[in-house]
Amino acid sequence: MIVRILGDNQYVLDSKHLDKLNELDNRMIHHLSNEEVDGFNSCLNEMIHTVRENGTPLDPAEIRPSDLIVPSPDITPEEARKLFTKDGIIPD
Amino acid sequence: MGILDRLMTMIKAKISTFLDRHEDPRETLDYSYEKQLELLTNVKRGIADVVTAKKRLELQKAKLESNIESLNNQAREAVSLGRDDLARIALERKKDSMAQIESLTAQIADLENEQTKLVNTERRLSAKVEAFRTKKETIKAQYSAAEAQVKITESVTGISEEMADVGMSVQRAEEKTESMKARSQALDELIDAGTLQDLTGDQTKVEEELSKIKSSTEVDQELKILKEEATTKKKDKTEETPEAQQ
Repeated sequence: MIVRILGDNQYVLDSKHLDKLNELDNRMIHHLSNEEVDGFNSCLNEMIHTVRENGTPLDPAEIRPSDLIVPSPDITPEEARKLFTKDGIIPD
Repeated sequence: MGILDRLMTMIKAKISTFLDRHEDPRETLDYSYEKQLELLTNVKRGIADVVTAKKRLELQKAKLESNIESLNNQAREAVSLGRDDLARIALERKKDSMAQIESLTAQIADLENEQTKLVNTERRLSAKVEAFRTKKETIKAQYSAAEAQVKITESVTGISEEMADVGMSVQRAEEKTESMKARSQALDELIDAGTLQDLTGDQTKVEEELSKIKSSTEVDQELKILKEEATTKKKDKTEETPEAQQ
């Protein structure tokens, strides 16, 4: 599958990593609602690391839509929260 | 809903609005290409803005650093004149300047980082835009309307995602640059109008006082010299007198 890290690049990644990414995503939401900045950042780092370490960057001349979009490595909890609040979707 | 789902939904929504804009899919291709070129210009402008903001901060930093130099000298001078109170003021100002320098250094590094990211973004987008241009012509030339529709949706979806991503990066860089511009403007005003002169503002007072002390010391010293001269002359006279008596 193709995974995009926002502000970074697209990577070709084996889909066996999908479960891990989803689990990290759930943990990030949890940290976000408990306002745990450190926990949020460490999950984010692990997510980025998983994609970069296991994936290979897509050739820039290839134009392909991604199967998964991962936030920018330096996204702040406030920015992440904004993703939801903008359209009125607030995480539980 | 997780962050990953949310991002995908947001970007897909953006893309579908874009795809729905034109009846004829071939128009979508040209319109998309036009937008890509615009975006590329935006990225370039973004880079220039970041560089300008960074230069401005570097200038301020240099200014504050030279401030420290003169505050050091003033403190030293004050101590040598026995005015610890003035030396203390100068040293306190120096400390404030150093704190400002530290924060400026961090901001400069932040902008440097932003610049690198945008340069990479530009490189990547350029490659994609070029690839899109070639693909666009091929699709137009080789495919029937029905086939073209599929190909167009595919490539426009891919490039639109890239564009959404780049758009966000540029926006984030802009926000950062704007907030730093505002802060550095405030700092400029402080430096110029002299509140960093609670720091340097009273600096004139310290300078004045120091030069007052200095000039009064100089007067004292001159007075001393004059007195010494006077005593020597007296002595000479008394020494001369016996000679005259001879």
